[in-house]
Amino acid sequence: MDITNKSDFRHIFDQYYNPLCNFAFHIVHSRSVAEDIVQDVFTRMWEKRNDIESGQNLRGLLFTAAKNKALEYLRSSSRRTAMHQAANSLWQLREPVEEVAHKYLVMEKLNSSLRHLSPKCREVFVLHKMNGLTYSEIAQSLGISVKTVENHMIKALKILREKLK
Amino acid sequence: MGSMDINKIILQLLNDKSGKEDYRQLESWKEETAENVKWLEDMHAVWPLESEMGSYQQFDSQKGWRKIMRPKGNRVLKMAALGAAFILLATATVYYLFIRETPLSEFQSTDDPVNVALMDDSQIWLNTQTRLKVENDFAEVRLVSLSGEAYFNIAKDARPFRVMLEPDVFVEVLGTSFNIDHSGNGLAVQVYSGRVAVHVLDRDVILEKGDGLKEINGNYVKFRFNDRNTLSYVSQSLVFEDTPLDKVLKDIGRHYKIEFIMGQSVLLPDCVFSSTMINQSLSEVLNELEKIFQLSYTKHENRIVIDKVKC
Repeated sequence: MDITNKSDFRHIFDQYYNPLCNFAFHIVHSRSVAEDIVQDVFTRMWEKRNDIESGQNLRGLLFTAAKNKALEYLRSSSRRTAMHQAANSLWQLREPVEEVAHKYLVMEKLNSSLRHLSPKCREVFVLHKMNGLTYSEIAQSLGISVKTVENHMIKALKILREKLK
Repeated sequence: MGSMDINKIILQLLNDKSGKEDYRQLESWKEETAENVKWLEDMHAVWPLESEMGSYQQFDSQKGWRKIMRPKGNRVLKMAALGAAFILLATATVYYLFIRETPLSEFQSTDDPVNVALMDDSQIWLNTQTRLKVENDFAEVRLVSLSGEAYFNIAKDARPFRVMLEPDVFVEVLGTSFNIDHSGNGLAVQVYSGRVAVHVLDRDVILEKGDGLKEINGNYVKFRFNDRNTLSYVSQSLVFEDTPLDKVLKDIGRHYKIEFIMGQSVLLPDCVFSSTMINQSLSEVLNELEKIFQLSYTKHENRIVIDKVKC
């Protein structure tokens, strides 16, 4: 991959833009600020493309730059002290950046694979894994048995496993 | 071993409910391919991240790419922009320092919902055009004020959490989750877990899980709710299951801040719709409706006039 080549750079951008925006969003809690941060990271990468050695770990580079910019944003104003304090407890800032990047790339794949689930299966998966409802709460809310909820989850997992290969 | 069995075992493992026999079967499944091991590791890594997965969203990468590749302005324009920014900053500083009574923190959403974390770890999702202010240092009472609509997931704590809506109207809780809509159509509160007290008309109305309170012509009516799309701005998903079309259009309208209007001599047919829409744009949603209901429409800013619709 040659990032001085515009089409290769676009390929990297397409691969990392959404996970990076989500990563930044979970730190700064603002969609527009997260987008600004990530766009700035890519703009600088494009401007400095000739200085980046081939074979350099671009994933680590991008996530580290986004993390630093997000922290810079939180520190930039004393009015955001509460957010800054809350951000210090985030696993996104505590864990090694490579692991964080890996998790966001898996979440990206998982999110885009959800469209392959049937509506019911997707609903159960979203309610359980994304809205945090228990099986019995889902069963009650959808008027189905706990066993049916479990079967939908098993089916969802099976399909996600095939799509995430 | 059947694939259904191994998926069940994996699910139990991810949910921390595996027994010894499950582990044994899992080990032999992992030995089958390196891909199995990798997939399980990936799932293990993200499975506990409910909050992040719940708020995972789609950003507009086309817009992002255009911004990155936009040609840079010339030096004179840059200087002019810098000058304007300086004047704006100075004005804002004077306003904040000398004119405005400053809360400790203030969060404002504009065209998109915003998720904020407070210093006590409470999570709050602001719907569009909503403002939340932290009014004290949370020493004894956690005091915030709200203008607009927000979903609160309050961290359990001995200090009461109070949301001021008007000088004599507030909602008070200890640790729970609830939605407050105070955006102009009267007050509406819905409780998703725990118990809250809504102070209105000099009295406390107690709401428990599944209870709602709505202001209708100055009166407050308590009701049981089962509308799963109230929090669509939090989950970024709309769920319909044999839902009448008028309710479908109402929920979509609420979510995307648009209004559906029936065109001349068009009647809404008596049909139902089932779908789960996650992180979809308005045009994707309209495309789906076009296919299913042969919908044709004309879009005028925030209004969509329906010209044709069939079951």
